[in-house]
Order: sequence, then structure tokens, then C-alpha cells
Amino acid sequence: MIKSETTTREQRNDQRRQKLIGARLKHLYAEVVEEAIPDEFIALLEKAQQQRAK
Amino acid sequence: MNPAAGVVLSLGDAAFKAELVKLIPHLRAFAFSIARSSDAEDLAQDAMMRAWRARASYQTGTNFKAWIFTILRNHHTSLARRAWRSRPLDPEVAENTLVANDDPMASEELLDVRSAMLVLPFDQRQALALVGAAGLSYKETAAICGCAEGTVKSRVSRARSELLAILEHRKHKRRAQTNVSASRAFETIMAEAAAMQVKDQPRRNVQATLTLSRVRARSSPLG
Repeated sequence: MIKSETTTREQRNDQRRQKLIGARLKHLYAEVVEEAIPDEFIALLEKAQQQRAK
Repeated sequence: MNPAAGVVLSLGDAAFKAELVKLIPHLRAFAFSIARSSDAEDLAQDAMMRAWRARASYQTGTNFKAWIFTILRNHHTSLARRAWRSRPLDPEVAENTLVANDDPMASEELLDVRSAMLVLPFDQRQALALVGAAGLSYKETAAICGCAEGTVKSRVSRARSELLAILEHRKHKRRAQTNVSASRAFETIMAEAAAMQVKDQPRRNVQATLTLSRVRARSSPLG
């Protein structure tokens, strides 16, 4: 009885932590999406496009 | 069937570039979810340039994000395989290296999840990043990773429980380290206090004072 209660509590605890980890992963991703695109990316594409046009 | 259909369906260079630029933030976010900070920018740039060079093979109307994520994922896989062959790291060593390499400005909690991600096998990491961070479906992720949906599900679930185990392990390790340093600090204070008392007290009480300070140090709740 006591053991099964402990297991349930541990499971709940794990679920709570899993949710927290999931939220942090989403947060990290969203944070990078929000960042301005570094100039280097655009410069590389411009260069590639100009080479193609020549 | 019109043999020219494929040609007609591909985007013009300018239109393709516009679509690609729109997705750069997601390419970067995916890269930062699966690679360490120092490699993520290169990974995203390489994927972008690979996509540009492969633009003729993209067909308008199909999922552009999935197409471009597939390019990044394939590139990451080949890099990870090469890295794995050249230096099979001890997970413990890898863990510490990755933590040390991370952005010092990031909050400890976020840094923890990020660096723990990097300890996972790359295929689990990719699956968890696509499902758990980018919010794609199992089906989309399966298409990107070139595997069955069931495989994605088991990779994600293994990644989640392993991530939890890594973070728990670190938390306990950190707590143990904190306790050790706290008890050392306490012992130092007690020893200094004892030394000061020694100066003021008659010789016969010295031993008793030192013994008492040791007992106190041992029974302290910090120890």
C-alpha cells in the first residue's frame, strides 16, 4: 500500500518534471526563432545568387 | 504525363530565396536544439546553402519546412557520425565539456536542459528537438528522419526519460558538492574559533575545546 503510494507520487513527480523539460525545450526553440537573422546568412545567399547571375 | 511538369513546378530563384529567408529562424532554432552553440550557426548556414544548391529538386506546394529540416537533419547526422568515430567520448567527460562551452549568460536551468540534450544519442536528440521543441507531429518527424512513426515515438520517449535521468543525476551531484564545501567552511570556522580560544585559555582546556569543535563540525546539519 505504502509502496504503491510512493510509486504514484514518484510518477507524478516525473510527469511534472517532464512537463517542465518540455516547456524549456519549447522556450529555447522559440527564443532562437525570435532572434534577428545574423547578417552572415543573408550575405551568403546574396553572394550565391550573384554568382548564379554572372 | 507531361515530362516538363517537374520543371514548371520548381520555384524561380528569387521566390525560392524569399521562402528560404523566411525559414532561417527555424533552421537556426532547430540547429541550436541539437548542436552546441559553437557549432549551431555553422550547421544552420551549411543547411541553408545546401538547400539553395538543391533548389531545383524542391517542388512547389510540398512542405518546404519539412524539406529544409530534412537537409539540416541529414547534414547533422553525417557530422555526428564522423564526430562519433573520431572521438568516442566518455559521457561524463562530454557532459562537463558541453556545460563549460555553453553561453554563460543563459539561465542555469535552460543551460542545463540544452547541455543535457547534447549528451543524448544524436537520433534521439533530433527526434526530441523536432517533436518537443519545434512542435512537429510524429508523422512529419518520421518523414524528416526517414524512419517509421513508431521509431520516432520510441526515440522521443527514450530521449525524454534519459534527459530526466541526466538532469536528476546532475542535481544530486551539485547538491553533494554544495554540502561538502559547506561542511568544509564550517570546519574552518570552528578550527579558527578554537585557535583563538587557545590563546586565551589555560593550557589544560585546549584539548577539550578542540574536541568539542570537531564534534560540532561533524554533527552540523550541513555536513
